[in-house]
Amino acid sequence: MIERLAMPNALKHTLPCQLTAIAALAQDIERWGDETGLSAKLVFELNLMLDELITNIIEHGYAEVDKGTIEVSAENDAGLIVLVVRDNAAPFNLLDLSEPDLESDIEEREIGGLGVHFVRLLADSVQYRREADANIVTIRKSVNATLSQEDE
Amino acid sequence: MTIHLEHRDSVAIFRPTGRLDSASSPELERMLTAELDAGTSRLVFDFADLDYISSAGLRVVLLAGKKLRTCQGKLALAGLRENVREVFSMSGFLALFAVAPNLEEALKSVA
Repeated sequence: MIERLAMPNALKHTLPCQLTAIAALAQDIERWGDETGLSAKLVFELNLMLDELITNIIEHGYAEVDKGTIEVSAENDAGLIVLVVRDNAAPFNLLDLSEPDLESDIEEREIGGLGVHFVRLLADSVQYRREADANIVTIRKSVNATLSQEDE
Repeated sequence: MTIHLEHRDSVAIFRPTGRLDSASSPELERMLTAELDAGTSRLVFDFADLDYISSAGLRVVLLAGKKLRTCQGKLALAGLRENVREVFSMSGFLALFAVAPNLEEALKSVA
């Protein structure tokens, strides 16, 4: 389900709560990124954040129910990318999760929390709020602040 | 997402293509588990055709690393493209695994 907003720099995409639906969102974000002039690197980072957030929502938030939808909007506001992910699952603030272990040897290494770590690392800011019966996560990222420009 | 599995000598080479995410990683995990259960102890992930990996994909790579460590096996990663490399870098995984520029070098490192 794809709906273009009147504003050319904005995208709205609604997903069913199925992991297989994420690839179609990624394609849509790629198309939107092309239209609004974003680099392939930035589009990749936006898609990684969305994928990790939505996978969390589907596997945890919607784990007890087999239906529900997730609404994603993306907007390029003069170089500030704003992504909003909204679901109607039980209250869940992923920012409550602790930082993962990035140092220990392979035997002790755990995978939990890595997805949220990517979101924290790649976003300029991440906010969570519960509004009526919705979880709303807002990610902001400046077009000029991709990680690649800092480490390459 | 397609996952090619090939054997050279006694090395299993997994070559996933496209996206390795929460939707596709269970299939790689299933193939990997079958391979390890069959006694394979030398393994290469060739990521030359991989466009995208998320933490769900990393989880399977870590699982392989843990299991092979237990049985004194060997694991190497090959052909990481820029986006995939960035995800490995952000996770601190580049320090955990042997990373080779291409398949031939990876095969040497598990020989």
